[in-house]
Amino acid sequence: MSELDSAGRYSEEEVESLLERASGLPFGEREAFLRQACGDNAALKGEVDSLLRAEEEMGDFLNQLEVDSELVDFQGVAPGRMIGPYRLLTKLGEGGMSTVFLASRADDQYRKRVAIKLAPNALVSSEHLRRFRTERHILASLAHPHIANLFDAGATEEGLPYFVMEYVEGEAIDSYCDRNRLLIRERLELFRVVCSAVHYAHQNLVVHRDLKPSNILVTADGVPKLLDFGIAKLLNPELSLPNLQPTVTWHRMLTPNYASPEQIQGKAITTASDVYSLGVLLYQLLCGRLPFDRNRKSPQEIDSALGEQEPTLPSQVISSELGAGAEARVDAQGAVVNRVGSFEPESLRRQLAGDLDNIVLKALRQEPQRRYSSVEQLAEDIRLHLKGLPVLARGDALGYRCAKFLRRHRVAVAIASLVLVLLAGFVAMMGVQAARVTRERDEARFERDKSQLALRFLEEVFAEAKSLPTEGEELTAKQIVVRAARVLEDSKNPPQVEASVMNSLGNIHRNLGLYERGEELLEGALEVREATLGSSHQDVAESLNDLSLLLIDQGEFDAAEKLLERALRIRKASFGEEHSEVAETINNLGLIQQNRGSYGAAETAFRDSLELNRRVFGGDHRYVALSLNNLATSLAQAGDYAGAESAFQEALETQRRIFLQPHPELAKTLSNLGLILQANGDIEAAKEKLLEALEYQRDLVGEEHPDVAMVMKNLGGLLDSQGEFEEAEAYLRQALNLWQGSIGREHLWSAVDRLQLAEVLSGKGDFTESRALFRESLESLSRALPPEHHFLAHPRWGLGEILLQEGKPQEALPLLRDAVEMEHRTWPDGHLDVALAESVLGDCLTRLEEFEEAESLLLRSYRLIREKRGVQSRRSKRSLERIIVLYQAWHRPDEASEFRSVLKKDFPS
Amino acid sequence: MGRGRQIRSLGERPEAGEITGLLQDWAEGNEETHTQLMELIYGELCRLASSRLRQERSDHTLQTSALVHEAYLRLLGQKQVSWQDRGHFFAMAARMMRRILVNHARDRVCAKRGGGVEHLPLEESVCLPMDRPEECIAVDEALGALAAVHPQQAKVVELRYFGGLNRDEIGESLGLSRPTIARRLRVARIWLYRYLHGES
Repeated sequence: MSELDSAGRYSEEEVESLLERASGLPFGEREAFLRQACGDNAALKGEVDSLLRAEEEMGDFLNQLEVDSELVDFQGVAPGRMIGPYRLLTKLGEGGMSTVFLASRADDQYRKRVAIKLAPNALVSSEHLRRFRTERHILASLAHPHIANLFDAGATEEGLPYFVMEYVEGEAIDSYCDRNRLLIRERLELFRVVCSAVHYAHQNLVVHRDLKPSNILVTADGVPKLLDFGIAKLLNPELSLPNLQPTVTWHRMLTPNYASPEQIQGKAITTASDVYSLGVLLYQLLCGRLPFDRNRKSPQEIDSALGEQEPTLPSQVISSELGAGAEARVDAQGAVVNRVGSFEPESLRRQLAGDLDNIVLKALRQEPQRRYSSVEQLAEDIRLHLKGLPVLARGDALGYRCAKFLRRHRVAVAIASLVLVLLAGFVAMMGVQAARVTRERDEARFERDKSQLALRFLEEVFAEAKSLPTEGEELTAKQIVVRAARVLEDSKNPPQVEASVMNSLGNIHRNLGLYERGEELLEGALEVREATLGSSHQDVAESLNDLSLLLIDQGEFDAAEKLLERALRIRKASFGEEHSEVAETINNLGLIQQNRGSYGAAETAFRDSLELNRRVFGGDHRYVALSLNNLATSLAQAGDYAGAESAFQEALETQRRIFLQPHPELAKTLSNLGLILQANGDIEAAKEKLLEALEYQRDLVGEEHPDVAMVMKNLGGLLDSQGEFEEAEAYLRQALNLWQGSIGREHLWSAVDRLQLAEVLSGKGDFTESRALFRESLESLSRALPPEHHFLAHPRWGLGEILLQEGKPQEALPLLRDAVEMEHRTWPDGHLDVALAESVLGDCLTRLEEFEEAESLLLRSYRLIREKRGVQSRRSKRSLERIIVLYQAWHRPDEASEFRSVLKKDFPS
Repeated sequence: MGRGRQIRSLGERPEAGEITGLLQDWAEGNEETHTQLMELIYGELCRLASSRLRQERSDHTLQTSALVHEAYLRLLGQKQVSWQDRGHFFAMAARMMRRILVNHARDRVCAKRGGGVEHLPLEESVCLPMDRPEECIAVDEALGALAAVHPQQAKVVELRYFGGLNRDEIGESLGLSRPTIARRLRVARIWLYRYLHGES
């Protein structure tokens, strides 16, 4: 191109001014504008088009041209100033982070009014500009009737970021509601509209990050409009101003009263953060107060108060105001009336109590994953409430608090790391079998109720599923089930059918490890059933029972026990004392005792359940065998291995008689029997049973089923104890892979497998990975089990053993003392687990030259380990070696050589 | 060009204020003073650059700007200077900085590629903190092309990029308003990007 060309066709000024004007327009209007402005000068239009395109992709190329490095003087921005093609008219408002001006386009053609937001504190860096360019596209493309349009974003010549937005004449939503004295119902409807806009943005992958009343304006016509979508992120100064004090950044970036805990703590911000802020807004709209008053508090104060706070329920806010002294009461009543428009504060309190309290609390949970999983779900719960239907948020406050309790106390055990409990498999097994009972009952129910409605529902699920985006080739079971739950929310079936489906889906969710959703579904089913069938119906008992199993999975034993006791009362009343469902409930109560480590009480429950089943079904029945298996596990855990072995044998024989085809319960009994044979020192028989179980399971469910993994885990444990580390490691890793891909890494079984793998690696001397696995599984186990559970003792001595290998006996000592004490609390003297812990402690004491105590521990534990684990097991060998080391260190060569000859005899190679 | 000789032959530093007269002469059309001015400014810039030895600064725009401003203070002193004179000075200083930076960048690139360093416009030990010599050379070339089409834009970029001047100073130098400069820089920046990376 030559000068002549440019002079002949267009000038610099023309290009500059057209580019500026075009980029100030919404994307959709640019083409028309340019066509008109350029007339028949196609070259000019082409040039501007090309420059606009290039600008979008140029990122921070040479951005120092446009950004002044000197500090910006914000004084220059005042009415009259031009920002791009707009002239600032008046200041509309000023916040901590920004100033907003009313502006209008300077040229005649587009005389529309816009709001321009300038951020005085956020100097634009190159990183910023890059983000601006990528994100303003997305933001500008948000087209929703309740979201104020973003026309343009850029930087002024001083480098101040600005945003050109639709000008909304309106009033902040909170004052709008109060001034117009909207009723609760009207407030909820308005709030749902707000939710729909936020949900739309979330679907377009935009999180607001700063939802608060001043960003939600309501026009005179009552139409809400959301401002500033996504802008908080663009203004985030962290990247551009790295040297600022964190607290300064903090102050700038968020509105403390509406910010979610994760925002305050500077963690990842997701759509769940918007759910939280909406929760604050809803709280405020319902009772006229903020859930937490964070004004005039320092960031540190707010941060440290996060963990403890639970907001006062909205209904209690009202009642506490009404409960004040007589004069104050009149005032308060007036205030409440003024605020929420209800002329009867007591009725207002009643409106809020229950569902609305629960909905608000669910949105306001500290942990993002415990909130509503989407804004849509929050809006839906409000819709359900308005229609008088049961809401998702109902009644899980108890479980929630239990989980919170466990979390709070996790810190106490997090010092240690883990080693496997030999019999861990048993506990998990129980859960599976109990679950299987409920699942088959569900299937039976489906058979029975094979109504058109249920069929249609399933059709809907699969029709929906077809349109799902899939990760790989096939839909996963999880995807289908998750979708099913969503379809269910929209379906219009009679409540009983819906409750049955919800209940079944809840069980399936639980079996897939999707506990949160499973809990919601089971609770939903329970609520519907209570509401439609009354509180003492047998279906209510079913829901109580199934929900309790889920709570057991999550370690919330107290809550589960309460539900089961209620279920038991209902079932006894409906079916009489002698019924298989009564037996089931008693069995599940036994599970709780077993999980708590109260094996005696568990044994009693399982015996009761067994007797009932025998009376109901006679000798040869599936449930009888199942009860026998469960009884055997509790006997094993209580240390009665002989009793356990014979009960397992009886269960197995029963199953071999009654199952004409391969059956998963028989495979499990085989696996369990293998484990107990190992515990009884009959290693060969144990291996034979486990290999048989593995073959059996593979035939039954294929290579990649979680049930196969259980057998692999048990085999891995057996091989480990025989010193066959490579094979053991292979089995354990395979099992872990299977579980992580199916039931998830957080599941108890995965955690237990990681433990066992850690143990193998520790035996091999791979301390680094071993330690990492210990730690990881400790975290999972701590989440799944109560803090005093004896599974949490093994991690301590496991880690202690590693510390000893690394020559740190002082550090190991407290861990090992704790571990031994925990094992003693659970087990009678002479139990293998006590001996395993004591052996390590003895070794530690040798190194600390506490020889006498070391000697008594090492000798005692060696005898036990040799008896229980087999003469030639790895642990026996390790015990012997420890004794030899002790006597050498103690300068007692005679004893040392005596044990050396034992070692030679038992381990000739 | 023999710039190296010019630097060394420059000898003494000019009297503060001397340059004002030269600027005025030049503004009145005396072409001879132009060379003298260039020598003065170039020499001063080089001297300042040398004295920056081992000052670790990573942002070469800032550094350039500081150099130009310090040269200004040294050459023009605290005297009241008309805005035209200041403007002329800045324009020339930016032109000189461009030459210094681009030559230096070429040397750096040459050295990187293992080639011999042919000329050393600055003393060997001088190291301007330029972390992106390739960019500097590319911008210099692209600016040449831009000057052929949009000369005004090219001037603004030269002052900003090589001279490190802010908008007020660019405004003084070229007699343009701040918004005009902003528009010009914006389009120039896109143009340069398109020239170097984008579509034709």
